[in-house]
Amino acid sequence: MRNDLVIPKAAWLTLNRACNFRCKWCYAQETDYNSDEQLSLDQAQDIVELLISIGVKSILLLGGEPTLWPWLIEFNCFCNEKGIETVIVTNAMRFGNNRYWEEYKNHPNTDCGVSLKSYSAESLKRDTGVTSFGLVTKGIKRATDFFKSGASVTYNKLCENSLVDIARYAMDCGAKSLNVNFCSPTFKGNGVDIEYMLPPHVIASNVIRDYEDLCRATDGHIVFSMRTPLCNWPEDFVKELELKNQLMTVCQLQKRSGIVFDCDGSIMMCNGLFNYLLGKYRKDFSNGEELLTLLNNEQTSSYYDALRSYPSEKCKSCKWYGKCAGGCPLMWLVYNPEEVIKGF
Amino acid sequence: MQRLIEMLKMTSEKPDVYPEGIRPYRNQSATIDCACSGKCDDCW
Repeated sequence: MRNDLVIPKAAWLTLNRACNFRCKWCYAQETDYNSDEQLSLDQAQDIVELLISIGVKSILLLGGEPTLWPWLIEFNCFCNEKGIETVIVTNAMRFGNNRYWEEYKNHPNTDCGVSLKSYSAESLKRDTGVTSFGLVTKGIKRATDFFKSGASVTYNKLCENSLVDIARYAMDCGAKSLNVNFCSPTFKGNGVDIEYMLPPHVIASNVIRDYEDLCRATDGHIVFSMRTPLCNWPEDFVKELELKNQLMTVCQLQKRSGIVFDCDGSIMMCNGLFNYLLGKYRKDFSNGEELLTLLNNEQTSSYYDALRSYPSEKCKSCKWYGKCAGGCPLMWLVYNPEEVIKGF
Repeated sequence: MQRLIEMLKMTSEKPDVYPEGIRPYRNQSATIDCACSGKCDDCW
C-alpha cells in the first residue's frame, strides 16, 4: 500500500565507472568510464555495514566493470565475514586472465551474472570495441562453470537479428539460462538518447519470430525481462511465457524493494538515473536509520510516486496492470504512453 | 529531479496498490530483483 514503510530488501553497489568494454548501447556512457570514479574500500565496507543494519541480505555489484575495481578480493573477504551475499554482474573478460582468475576464485562472490555482449569476434569488436574474443569466451566459460550460473544479454538494435546466435553462444559457453533484457533510453547531455533501442512493436515482432529457435537453443531456459508494456505483445504469447516461467516484469523501482548506490556514495532510484540523485552517504545520511528516514520522507516518496503513476488511462482498468505496471517508466521519457499502450 | 519528472509523459494518478509483477522463481523465497544470476535449480 502507498503509505507502508519502505525498507529495501536488496541493494546495488556501483563500485566503479571504469570499464574494459565500450558497448555502444551502454546506459552509462555519460559517465565517460572515468577510472577516478570509484568507491574506496572503506566507503564500500561502511555502506555494507549500513545495509546490514537495515536488514539487507544481498548486494549486487555493478560497474563500470566490477572486476576492474582494485579492492574486489578484500571486499569479498569482508562480505563473507559479515555473512552478506554478493552477486557480481560482469562481462567476465578479466576472468579470462589466468593470474586474476586464480586469485579471484579463492575469494569469489556468492554468485555471478555474466553479461554477454556478442557471439563472435566480429560482433564483439563492432559492438564493444574489444578484440579479445578468445579471452572473453574463456572468462565466460570459467564463470558459468564455477558459479553454475546463467547469462544475460541486452537486446538492442545491433543484435536485432542475432539473438538466437547469442543464445547458442551462451549455451556453448556453459550458461544454464539466458536472461534477455531490453535496451533502455540513455541520458546524453541534456537529452535522452534511444539510438540503440528498438521500437516496442519491433521488439515484440522480432522476439516472437525468434521464440521457437530461442527455446530450442536454451532448452527453454530463457527469461524475458520485459521493459515494454505487456499489451505490446499478443495476450496468448504473454500467457505462454508466464506459464513456462519465462517472464519477468516490474523492477525494484516500481516495487520500491531496492536501492542503488553510485560510486561516490550517492543513492538513486535506478542505475540508469545516475544524474538524478536522492541523497548521499555521509552528507544526507550516515546510518541505516537516517537512510530509511530519507527513503520515507515526503520528497523522496513524491519522486517515486511520479515514476510509479499510471502511464496511461488505459492501465487503470487493465487486468494485467498488477503484473505489468505499464512497463519501464524510463520509456515514457521518449515515447508517448497513449500511443504505445494499446490495452488488451 | 523535477526536470526528470517533467520529462515523463505519464499520468499523475497513483494506483492504490502498486504492482507486484511476475518473477519466474519456483522457489518463492527468492526475493532479489536483479539481473537473473541464473541459479536455475531454484528457478525452473
